[in-house]
Amino acid sequence: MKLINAWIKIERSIAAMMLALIVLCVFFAALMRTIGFPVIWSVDIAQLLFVWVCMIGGNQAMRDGDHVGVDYFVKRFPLKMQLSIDVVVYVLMAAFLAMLIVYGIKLTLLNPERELGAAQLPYSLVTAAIPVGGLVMLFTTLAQGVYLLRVCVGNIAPDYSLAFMQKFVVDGENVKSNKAAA
Amino acid sequence: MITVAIVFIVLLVIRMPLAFAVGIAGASYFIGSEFLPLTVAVQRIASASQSFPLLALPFFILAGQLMNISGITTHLIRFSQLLVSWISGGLAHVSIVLSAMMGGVSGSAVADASMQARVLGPAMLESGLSKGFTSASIAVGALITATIPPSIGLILYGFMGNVSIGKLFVAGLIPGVLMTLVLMAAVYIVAKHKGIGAQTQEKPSGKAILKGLMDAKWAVLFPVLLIVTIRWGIFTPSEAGAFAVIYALAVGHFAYRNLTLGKVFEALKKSVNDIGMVMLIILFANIVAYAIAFEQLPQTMTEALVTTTDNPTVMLLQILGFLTLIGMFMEATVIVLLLTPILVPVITAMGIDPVHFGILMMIVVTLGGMTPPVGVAMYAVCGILKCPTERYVVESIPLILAVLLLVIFLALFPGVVLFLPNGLMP
Repeated sequence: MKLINAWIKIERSIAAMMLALIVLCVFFAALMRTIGFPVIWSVDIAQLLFVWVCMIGGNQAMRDGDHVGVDYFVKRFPLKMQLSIDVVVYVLMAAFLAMLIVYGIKLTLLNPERELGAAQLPYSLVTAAIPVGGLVMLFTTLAQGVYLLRVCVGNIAPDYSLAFMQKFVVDGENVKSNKAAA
Repeated sequence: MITVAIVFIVLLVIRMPLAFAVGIAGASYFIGSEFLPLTVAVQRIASASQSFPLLALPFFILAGQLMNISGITTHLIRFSQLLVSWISGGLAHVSIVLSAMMGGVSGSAVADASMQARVLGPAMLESGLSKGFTSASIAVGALITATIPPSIGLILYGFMGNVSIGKLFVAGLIPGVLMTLVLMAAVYIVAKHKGIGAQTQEKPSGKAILKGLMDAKWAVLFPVLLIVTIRWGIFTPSEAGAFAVIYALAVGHFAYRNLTLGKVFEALKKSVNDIGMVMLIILFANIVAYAIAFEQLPQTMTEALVTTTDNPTVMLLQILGFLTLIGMFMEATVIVLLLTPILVPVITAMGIDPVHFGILMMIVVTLGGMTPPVGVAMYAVCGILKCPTERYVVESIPLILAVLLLVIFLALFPGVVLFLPNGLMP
């Protein structure tokens, strides 16, 4: 558990620093071009980092329950049914992520000679972000999905204060009823 | 292709996160096809991330976060209050003017709406405005952000439809200003009708305005700088985004003196979440975009549409009506991502300018976020202010009508939208 928390912290910091670097790279490139010394590799680095920020950020957003969905229909169902539907959603997501990992690895190994713009870095550094990002997202999906499944079969009492459980909360109602039940 | 649509809709209904709904729907096309390997689908994700214009998006998200923590937002609120709180309707006007000014900084309607609901909402309720009216003017007012540059929606439209983002930015300026005026007029009429008074009694003197302007100059100056640098080709929109981030940092640190390294790091982390959320949708939507191109959907659509009318204006109004309807049920980002690659070739073939169309499309699909049943901005504001949806809906009707009238006006007179970009960027 400690190890996981440490990892989450590191992942967040890495992504934040990558984002800062992207800004600096593009700003630097624009500055140099304006004063007459264009550097092309700077933007290439920025775009390479960008795909990593997108994938890691996608995982971050998943962990914090930030991904948006349409809750217009599901919200009308009883809570128990909402939870069961969500288990199905998680199974499908895990399958999609597994597909990204398998074919992402295939794609990364497919064309090792291709280079990234002028930076003379292998293009596979870009494509590798997809299986790696898929893998961290798969971990998050499995962790949340297994938790939901256990809630569904009544194995554990749900904790609606968890970020990814917020979508089941209607104005703090469930939190109270849950406490009363406990 | 019909299977893809059905898969997508079913996944939406069971509350699959948008990014995954669109990704799985796209993948289902590849799985069902005999000659398209899934590696191509993954390849599409990678190549979409390597677009330079798309880099503008993370930059403006980050710049918006930095504006909030650097004190720029606070200065803009103070200035808006000084400018318009003496008009009948009081703080409702402040909220609208603030959206216009914030629009020149952040660029996301939902972010603007929830920020205002938090920062300005309580003060508006306290000043005696009803919950419904407060929520409506904040949420619908945020629509201005969708057209005033830099608009994240316009970046996406330009990216998917291969239209110049610089031109779109310049073209959004006048519609944005017009929308500010139209919404203020609507608020004024409603306020007069209901006998809602002003917030302050006196008009501010010229001297006071000048002083307020000086106080907020760094924030007000920003959209001007943005347009100038893009117009004269000093920066591309993406570079301007990086510049916006550095600018927000510099103003927050040197002028307003309240930026610490810790705060900046927090803003970076928060932005990573927002970027991950939006970008995952965009990257996965590119799988579907491939399927759309592969099926030659735009060509089929054009042929079908041309038979209904050969008048471009009628066609434009038809498409806009259709988009307004879809906008009510689907989130704006998704509509732009999925329909831009279909619609841009269609309207171009009909002789409609893609820049003109882009501005109008952005307005109507973003408007859907302010109406039920699926309205992200509406739910955000009503959730924060605890406003019942029915009361929001009643109060938002005059404002939404005002926007729709403006859209029809802009559709009939393309020159109003186009004279600035065509005059400045031939």
